[in-house]
Amino acid sequence: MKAENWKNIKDVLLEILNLDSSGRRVFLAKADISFEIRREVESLLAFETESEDLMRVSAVEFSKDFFAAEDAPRSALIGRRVGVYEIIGELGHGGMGAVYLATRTDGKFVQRVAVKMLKRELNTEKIRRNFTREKEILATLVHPNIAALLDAGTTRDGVPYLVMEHVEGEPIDAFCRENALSLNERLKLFNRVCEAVAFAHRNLIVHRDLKPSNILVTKDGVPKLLDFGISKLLAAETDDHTITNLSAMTPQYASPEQIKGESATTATDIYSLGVILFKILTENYPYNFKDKSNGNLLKEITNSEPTLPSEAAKRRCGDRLIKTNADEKMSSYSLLPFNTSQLKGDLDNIILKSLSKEPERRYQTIEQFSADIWRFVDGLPVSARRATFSYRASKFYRRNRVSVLAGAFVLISLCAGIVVAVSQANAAKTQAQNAAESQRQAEIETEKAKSEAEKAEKISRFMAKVISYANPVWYAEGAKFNGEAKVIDVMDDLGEKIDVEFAGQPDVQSELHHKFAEVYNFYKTGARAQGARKKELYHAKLALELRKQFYGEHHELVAKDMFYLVGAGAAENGEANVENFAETLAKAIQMMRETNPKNLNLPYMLSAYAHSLTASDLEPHRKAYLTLGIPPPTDIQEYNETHRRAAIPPTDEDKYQLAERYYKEALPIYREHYKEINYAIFLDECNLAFVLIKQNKRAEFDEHYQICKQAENKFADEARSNAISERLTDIEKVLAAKKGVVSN
Amino acid sequence: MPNKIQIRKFMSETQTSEITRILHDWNDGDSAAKEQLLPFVYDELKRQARFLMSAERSDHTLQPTALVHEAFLRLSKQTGVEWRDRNHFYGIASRLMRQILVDHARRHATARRGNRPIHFSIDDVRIPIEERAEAILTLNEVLERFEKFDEQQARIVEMRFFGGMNNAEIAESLEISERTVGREWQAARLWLYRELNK
Repeated sequence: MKAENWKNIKDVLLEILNLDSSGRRVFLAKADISFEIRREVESLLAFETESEDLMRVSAVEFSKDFFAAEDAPRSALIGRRVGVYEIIGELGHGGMGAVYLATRTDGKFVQRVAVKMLKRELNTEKIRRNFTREKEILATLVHPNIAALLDAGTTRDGVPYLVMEHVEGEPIDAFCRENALSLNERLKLFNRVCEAVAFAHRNLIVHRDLKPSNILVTKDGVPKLLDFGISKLLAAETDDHTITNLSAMTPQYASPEQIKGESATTATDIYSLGVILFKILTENYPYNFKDKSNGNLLKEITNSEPTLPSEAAKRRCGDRLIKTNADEKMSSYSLLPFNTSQLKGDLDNIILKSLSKEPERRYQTIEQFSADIWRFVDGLPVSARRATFSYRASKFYRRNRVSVLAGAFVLISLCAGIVVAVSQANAAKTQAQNAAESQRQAEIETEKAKSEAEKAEKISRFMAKVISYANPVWYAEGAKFNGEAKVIDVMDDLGEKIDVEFAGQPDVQSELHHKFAEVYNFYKTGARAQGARKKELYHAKLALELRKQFYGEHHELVAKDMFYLVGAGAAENGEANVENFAETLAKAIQMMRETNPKNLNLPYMLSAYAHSLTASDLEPHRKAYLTLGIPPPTDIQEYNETHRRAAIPPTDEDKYQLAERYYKEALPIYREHYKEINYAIFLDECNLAFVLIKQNKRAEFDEHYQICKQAENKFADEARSNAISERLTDIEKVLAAKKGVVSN
Repeated sequence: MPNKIQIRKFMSETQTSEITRILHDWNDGDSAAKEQLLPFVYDELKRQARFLMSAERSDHTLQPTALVHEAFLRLSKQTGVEWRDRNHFYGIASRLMRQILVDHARRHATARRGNRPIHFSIDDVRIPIEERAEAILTLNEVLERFEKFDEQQARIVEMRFFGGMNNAEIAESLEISERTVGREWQAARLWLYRELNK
């Protein structure tokens, strides 16, 4: 290739590398380039995917043992005799010592062995003990798939050594690749590895450093595990297991708990086996290890969700963007000689389960792990599948991400207010007590803080349960609904648990019941309306009872819950019991006025009451409005008048007059709370306009009517905009009727 | 990090003052001075490489930047001269690391390279040392061809692979934009890969 040619080729490459395949086609079709250049560009593009990995490690890393081999003190030992063995070469070395290749010299039989020897300068008492421990471990591990301990001893100058079976083989991943094993062959090979690890586990030995280079496969296809106990030796060398040691740990295969420096268990080996299975089935790693810094590895392994194996496998032999002759060459050189879509489903599930971040969510034993793989190989349904809905779950997440998250969000934001609400209410209560018993204040404060913290924590835990409904893999709650629980399912379920979870804490119980009632209130239409109404009533009743228990009969929260309860009751009973409704509501209003006249619930209560007045006869309200009384009288005569009328059958004018009072009482409270224009204010203005025109108070009516008209089409919400226009229609009807009267 | 390196007297007094003089010249704008510096930097890098890549540490992941940076620090300390630019030094060091590794690879490259594709990736680290040495030599040849028709692009590859420099550092050293570095690498990679695995 000539220099000018490369310049031309590069110019084209730079133009099109960032284009998608169709963009490239268009560019190549249009651009004025010679046949030669085009062919060269296409040939290079064929290597796009394949070359992505190029130089992922630095040259220094790639060649580091060029130096090590030179510096190794192997020459000193080669030719030396150790016991009945003669050292003929070096196999490798680590921090603690080196492994040499040796043969038996006593003529009994020719046998090549591996001799592992401690570094002379490390020959301390403590390390010798570890070495001895490794010997003991290995002595118990007699298994055809574990490199056997043949002999052990101490050299004449006192350096301990182990003689091991020498395994001539290739790392399992390389073996699979180079022999182009089929999917089933890979799985069967892997299962033999599992058997060996399971055998070790039954002997209470954890390998802790499982990785392909520790699993060699011989020419005959027999896998052999090496280096049992090595990791224990390494760990003994230093007290610090944390991330600083990562580089000594083969991070790609390390489990999250190892990364975090926690102790390794059998679950750790299960995880590493999961990564190995991932690797041999996909030629990829579960995480993005392109950035090899420790920080990134830590983050990936402990935080990121692993890639689906079936996806990872596809990535490697990715679709070519431009079809060229080279393509054929490439596809025949596929790294995976089986159809990777076979990984989809069961194998995805199996591998992801073994890669769970939390050890307890992985397979409990290697046998279970292995059994699932056998079932897959035998074409049987994977029994663990029901319990490991991970694939379905992940699909579910993708398909329904918005609804699951939105649902969880609704519930969480709903519950989040509870902590605050409860502690504020309690603060008020405590304050009252403090006034009487100021000397105990400090004590109470401490107690309070403590119990508040406990409460908050408990509520948080309760809230956290919401999440479990979206995860069918890990939680019974999730499994119950197959991961497809709706918000209302979660509510139904959790609602029953409130009193158990928060037994003895009526403040929290009542607030939760209250919130649940509120949510059910939203569900009063649609297919589940009937159930929702019942639930609303149930929670509202409990909320009220518990509030009374905790705060006493006379408290703003009691008033508030009375309001909710009558609301729920009215929905349940229809208009059947207006009298009861009016009377309870009146009591609640009165209580609220006395306990906290600034409570935002008060105007809503007043509006509700006023509305009920105008919507029905005054008669059922008779007792109620006596209880309720008249708002602070501005006109004593009017006041007396009303009371006088209480004894005689009331008229329609009376009820509009009363409603007017209540709407007017509500408005300034709304305005104080809502700085901006608000639906509640507009609706109240409309209601007020309506009752004013009903009473023919024209002058006053106009002012409120104007405001009400501004609200028309102001609210996007259908229910709200309907309510406003309904009111406007009501008003216009009255106006029209009155006009008729006038014009007549 | 090799912070425990003993400060040995690795340069004679005369050598030190020689380097110091060269650095002053370089700082004064004498670009030829840079070339005179190479043997000293080479020695220092090699010393660092030997130390860091010795048997005791072969389990560890080696960051080339650590190695180069250590060499930089030691030379700075020895001479007491303000270096013109750290990234320029890294650029020089990348070239020298290439030389050092190629020299060492020659001693190991006894076997023919296997027929597996070379990526210089995480997995390739496990390939037998002789094959890897051969791969480094092949890369060296490919790069030598490459720099004949695009010297700057070859330099980018060199800094990246042998010097462990990131795009920003390379950009500063070559006084081009970071985006250009990224794009040039993207294109170079295709050609290199094809030639390496022909």
